[in-house]
Amino acid sequence: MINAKGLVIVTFTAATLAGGSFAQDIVRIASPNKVTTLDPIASAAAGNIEAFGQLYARLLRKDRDGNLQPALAESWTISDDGLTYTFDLRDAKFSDGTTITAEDVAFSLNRVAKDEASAYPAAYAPVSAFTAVDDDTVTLTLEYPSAPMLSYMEIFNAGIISKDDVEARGEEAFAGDPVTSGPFMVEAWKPNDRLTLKANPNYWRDGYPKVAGADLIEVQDDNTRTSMMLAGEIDASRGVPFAQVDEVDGSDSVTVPLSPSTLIYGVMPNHAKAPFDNLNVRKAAAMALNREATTKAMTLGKAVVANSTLPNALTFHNADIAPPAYDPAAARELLESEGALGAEITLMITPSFEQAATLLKAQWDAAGFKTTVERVDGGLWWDRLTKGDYQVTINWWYNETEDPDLAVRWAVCGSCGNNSYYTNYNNDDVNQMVEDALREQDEAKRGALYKEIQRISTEELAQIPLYYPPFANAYSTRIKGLTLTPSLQWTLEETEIVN
Amino acid sequence: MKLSPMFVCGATLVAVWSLIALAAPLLATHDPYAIDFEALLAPPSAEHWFGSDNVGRDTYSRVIYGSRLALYIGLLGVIAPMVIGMTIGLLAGYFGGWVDTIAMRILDITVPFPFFVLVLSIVAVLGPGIENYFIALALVGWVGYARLARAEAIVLRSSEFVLAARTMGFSHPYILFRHVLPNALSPVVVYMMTDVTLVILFGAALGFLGMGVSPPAAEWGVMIAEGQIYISTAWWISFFPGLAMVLIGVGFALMGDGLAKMLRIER
Repeated sequence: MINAKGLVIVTFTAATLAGGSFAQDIVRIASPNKVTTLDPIASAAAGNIEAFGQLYARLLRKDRDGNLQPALAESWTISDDGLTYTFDLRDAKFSDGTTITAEDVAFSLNRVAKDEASAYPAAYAPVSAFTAVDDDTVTLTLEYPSAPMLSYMEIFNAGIISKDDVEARGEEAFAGDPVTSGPFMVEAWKPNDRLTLKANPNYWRDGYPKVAGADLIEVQDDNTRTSMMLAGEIDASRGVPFAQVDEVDGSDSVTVPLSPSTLIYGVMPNHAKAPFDNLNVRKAAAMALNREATTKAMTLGKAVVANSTLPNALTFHNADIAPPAYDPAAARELLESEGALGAEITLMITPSFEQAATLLKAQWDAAGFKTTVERVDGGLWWDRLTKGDYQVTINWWYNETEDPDLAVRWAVCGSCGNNSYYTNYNNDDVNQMVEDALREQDEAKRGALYKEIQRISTEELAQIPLYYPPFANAYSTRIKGLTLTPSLQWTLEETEIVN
Repeated sequence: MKLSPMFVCGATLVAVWSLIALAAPLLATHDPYAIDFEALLAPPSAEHWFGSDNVGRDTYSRVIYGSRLALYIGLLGVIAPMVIGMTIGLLAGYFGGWVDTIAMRILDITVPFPFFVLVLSIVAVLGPGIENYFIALALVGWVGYARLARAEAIVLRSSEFVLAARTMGFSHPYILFRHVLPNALSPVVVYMMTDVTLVILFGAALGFLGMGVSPPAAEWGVMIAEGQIYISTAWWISFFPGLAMVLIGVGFALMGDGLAKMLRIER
């Protein structure tokens, strides 16, 4: 059979390719996500986010329970009006042995907040400036208060880089082979193949990292990663398909713990195009879907059905709301009353959503839509999504922090730069509440605002939420302490090799 | 003419598949496209003979309907290459000279590229879909037919009956159609049998790679691809379409080989 034969060949090739990294003291992680740049502000793609955390230390860090802890900043104070933050830096060095100064910190953070090349500056909108007061002190001044600002000092693009290095060699050279401040430094980087890391001897946390190095290997194919994992060629595999979780987990030397994520999968209608500009048509599309059964089919029962436009792992998640219940007959009536029965819709998908497309098409067509599935590759998908050149699509997203500010800006805010994740959903009340909630210092009032945002955007079906999946990554029993945090960061510095 | 057992076996298999394809609606137990949330990844049972796939579709019914696509692709896919190849080959062989030189140089350019690589690149440029596969086949697949037809035509053009026809003043087109073509046909038909197998297999391979027939079509290559990540937990999704492909491939291959044997004996 073509299938079985193909599998063997692919596995063999991958094994041959991976041959260079059989060293005993390094951790090998395979991920389908590409590393395309090492400049922490230049990209917000998953593969880069996973790498940035290993290369750059931040002012704060999160412990395993998700609590903020001092990192490069030893301590900090916040003024009463919430507009001035003062960070005291610890004595720490870059990988080249030079001292991490307040200048470096101010340079790095102003860059992510203000530089045009910053791919994801949403968190830093309130920032007026980061200023180096003296060698060990940095102040952050805001134009208006931001409740979650402190937690943004921990996210993937808030890494501290060396001003001298960037200015001496230029941004381009830096993005390929940077001086680092994090637990690891770059030994070699072969784009489209692997990023080889070695321990940074100057890392501020004494005794970390516990391993001599790591390989972040790009392996696109799910089956190949799984075979490599089962053959012991890699120590961790990012994204085990739910269909393979039980099988891989059943192996003696591998475990697949399902770990919490801030992921949400959903159907994204384009609110700027007929027929999904009509709320009743969106309602019909939601009612046509048996979301419970669809979730079960796609995740084999390993995910929770989504009830809100925001991930359930976020604080202030609203558990009391739900999209309209499954009722294909009512969906058909609704379409009929809108004169939209038989409406032709085109569902744009990337190849990984083939199964979802089959399920959605069958259910929508049963309720009176006429669905065409259009397959595009990932690059074209993003291009057409951002241009609003689609009718409906299906995708996932995640949030960097448990605080919902970035999530609402990403998914349901029409005035935050990305038109509600390019769905063109735009509700002025929601937009206003997004800004109010950011500035609100009272936790209870803030929570109420976020719950209201979710209630409105779910009722108006900004997106049709499908499910909240956990991370399913495979780990070898050869290593201990490795996990992927909800912020998409590997806890590689705390990982040990046990046998 | 004595029938070779090989030919009988092959022809029987092909006949059975043709019947299955014709009677698909009668033989299928389920709608091949109907999803069923109650029967996700169900193993083979009395209800689902070949089990069901990851959206609850019945694998047996899909395999049955898949035979229609396989035969459609296989039989239609060889027509254009055969017509083009025979025309070029006969003209080149019969006339010789510069016609032959040009035709053979084009052929020389096409031959060094591995067949499937060339088909894949053409489909990649034109975009996925069965029509583009047919176009790619027409552009690449004629080579084999042309070679065979040319070799036959070279022998036939100096045969006595052709020479006789020439002296009697018949026109070239008449001689080509009436005398050369019918006599050059049998090796080409044998070649076509094996070619059908290849065209079906490559068509399925394209479907598997996402460059042929699009899901959710009940196409065997697509079905194998859909079952790929379930191969260790729900093997039936990929296994049965794979088996079907083997059986149809063996059928055409045996028929071709048997036919070749019979024709050699004849001669």
